[in-house]
Amino acid sequence: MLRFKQYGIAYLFLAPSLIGLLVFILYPIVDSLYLSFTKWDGLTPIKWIGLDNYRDLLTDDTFKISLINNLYYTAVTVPITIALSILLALVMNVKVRGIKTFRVLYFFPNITASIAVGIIWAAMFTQYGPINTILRFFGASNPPSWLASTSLALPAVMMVSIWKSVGYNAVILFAGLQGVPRQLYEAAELDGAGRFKRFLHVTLPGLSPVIFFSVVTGVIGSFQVFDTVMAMTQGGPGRSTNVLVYYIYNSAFQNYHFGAASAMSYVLFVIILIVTLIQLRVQKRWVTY
Amino acid sequence: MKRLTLSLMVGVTVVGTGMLSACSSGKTDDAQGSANGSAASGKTVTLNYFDWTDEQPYMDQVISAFEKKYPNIKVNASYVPTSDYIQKILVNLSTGGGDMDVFATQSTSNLAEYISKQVLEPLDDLAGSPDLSGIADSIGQLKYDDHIYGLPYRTSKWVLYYNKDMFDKAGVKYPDGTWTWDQYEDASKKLTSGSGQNKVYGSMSYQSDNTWWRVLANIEGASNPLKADELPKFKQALEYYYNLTYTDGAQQPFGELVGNAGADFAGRFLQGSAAMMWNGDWAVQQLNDAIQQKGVKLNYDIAPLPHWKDQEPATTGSFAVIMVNKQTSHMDEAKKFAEFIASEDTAKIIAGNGLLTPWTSDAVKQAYLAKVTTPAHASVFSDNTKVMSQVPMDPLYNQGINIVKEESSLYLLKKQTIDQTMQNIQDRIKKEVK
Repeated sequence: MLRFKQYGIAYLFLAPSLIGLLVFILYPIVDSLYLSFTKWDGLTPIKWIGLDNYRDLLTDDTFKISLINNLYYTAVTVPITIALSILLALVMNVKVRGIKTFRVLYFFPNITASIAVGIIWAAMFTQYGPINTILRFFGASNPPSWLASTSLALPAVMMVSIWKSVGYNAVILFAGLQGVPRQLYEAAELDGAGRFKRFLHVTLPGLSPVIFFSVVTGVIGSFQVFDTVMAMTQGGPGRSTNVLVYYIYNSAFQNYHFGAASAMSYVLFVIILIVTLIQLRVQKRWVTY
Repeated sequence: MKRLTLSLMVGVTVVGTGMLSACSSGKTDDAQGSANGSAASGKTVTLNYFDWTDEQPYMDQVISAFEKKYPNIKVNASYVPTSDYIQKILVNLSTGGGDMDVFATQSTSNLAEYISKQVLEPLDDLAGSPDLSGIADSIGQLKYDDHIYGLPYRTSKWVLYYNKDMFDKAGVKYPDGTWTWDQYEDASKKLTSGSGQNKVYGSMSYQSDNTWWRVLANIEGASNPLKADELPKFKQALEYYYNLTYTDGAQQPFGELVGNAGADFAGRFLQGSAAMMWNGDWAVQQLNDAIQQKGVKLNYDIAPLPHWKDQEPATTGSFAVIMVNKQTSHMDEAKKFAEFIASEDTAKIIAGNGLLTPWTSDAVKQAYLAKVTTPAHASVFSDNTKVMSQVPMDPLYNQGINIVKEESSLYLLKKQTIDQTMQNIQDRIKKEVK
């Protein structure tokens, strides 16, 4: 009875958010798992088909193309974003007049709506757009039409994604820099360590927990890329910039294959889970707390 | 402490009810609508009607005319943003559809989809009604398994748009109903001039992932890529379009158009960077608005679409269709409303707003031509050219045409050959469409 009094009232207070969690998050998660074993077009009765959706994925070319594109996207964007963010964080850390303005400016791409960003960048990448104008100025006689090329469209999307997320990661890393103990730098300096050595042996290890955070969130985010692709290329030309979430969206909301789309979502979930678990394992070797 | 607890509790309660009522508010309105209706049998019945926002201006007029004719039926119209419309209908239908009595769609492929999902009421009795005898042919095109489930009330028609000043300057004779696509190609070459970024093209090209080239297959009766025997016509149209661009140089290369959100067809035609384009009747309004309201200088006219050599002249278009939800609780009233929307009275209203309907009676033609006075040959829209349906009655059409879109864009960007393209389309349709 006392227990109920103690916990019951607590749950009562938690109820508003708890009910929201159950209805809007937990229920869809469980329901989509169920749907992934069914065939459903949104209207006619749901039909149980067991593992067929998953089996079909093995021979689904578009899924394979999307997965490969996505792995390529992750492998390129995450390391480059982190490397650039560290550089930018170091620059932000310099004490110069007006540096605060720059810190804000670098964060700007992150708070801009990604559809707007995508449309503007798509226009910049056109045949006679600003990017090719610059390339021509530097002597490229026949610059590519980026988004019309099956090999360059995805790199163009990657560039925009990197541009968009560098500022955000830099701010987090910049905060991390403030937490590196000053006496370590002093000690290293006394021992005769130069700028580069101090960066390598003091800054990087000191930052490693924050870098780890950026890598994990970056990888998850890169597997979920959608809006930039939607705004810039719609998966084209052909299927050359199709990525997993974009394909899931098309399967569910264009073709009404809700079962297949749910199955793909779960495959994506498992991929992200495995990659994250591996990272949690490996972090013990390089992250110092 | 006690006061704090109390105020917290009150706060929680207020927030809680607020959320609940917010969630259900949309529902209550509709529920009240139908409750009013059924409670008052013999008195006023309220129908819930769904349409997309583009249609609001003339549909509001149609509804008030209907309510005048049937004083005891009220229509509660919901206009949904065009981009969300199909999904909204799907949600309505999947939740029992009780709050939706009559609804419209702008694609016959969606009509086929709804039919295959068995959510529509057959309208065979209306189809034979003497009031609709004027559009019996159009209704007949929507037959599915020997039944009619939707009535056509609006249509579109593709024509040839051309810039008269550019024709005069190049000394080319204006197009007329006798043109073949070979003549179109010749004229396109003559009308092309300049080079580089400022080159002026004889014919308009649309972005590579558009399928506007398919109009040239549609006018020959090929509209469904899922049918293997219609694919050769698609191939012919695609090759013709490719040659206009790369062999003749009379269309802008497709690579230049990708990603260029600002370079839409109307903009380029208005700027005079293309002398001819084939487009639907909707472009008239866009061009006229730009000319009359924004002061753009453009001297244009229209002509019937060219035809393939040794073929009958024809054009293509698609129907907007009105349907009745099988689960409506006001079947008689819903059917009356559907019939009214397909009737000549409605056609006059729609034509008076500058849009085309399946009706070809003189009264409807006059209403149209009274509204659309530019271009000079606006009567091309209301002539009696054969109109081939652009969208087949096939629920899987959208999946098929998406594959065509993806593969043909690679051909138009010179990434694969035409034979490879057609082979891929066939293979992928066989494997992926289900």
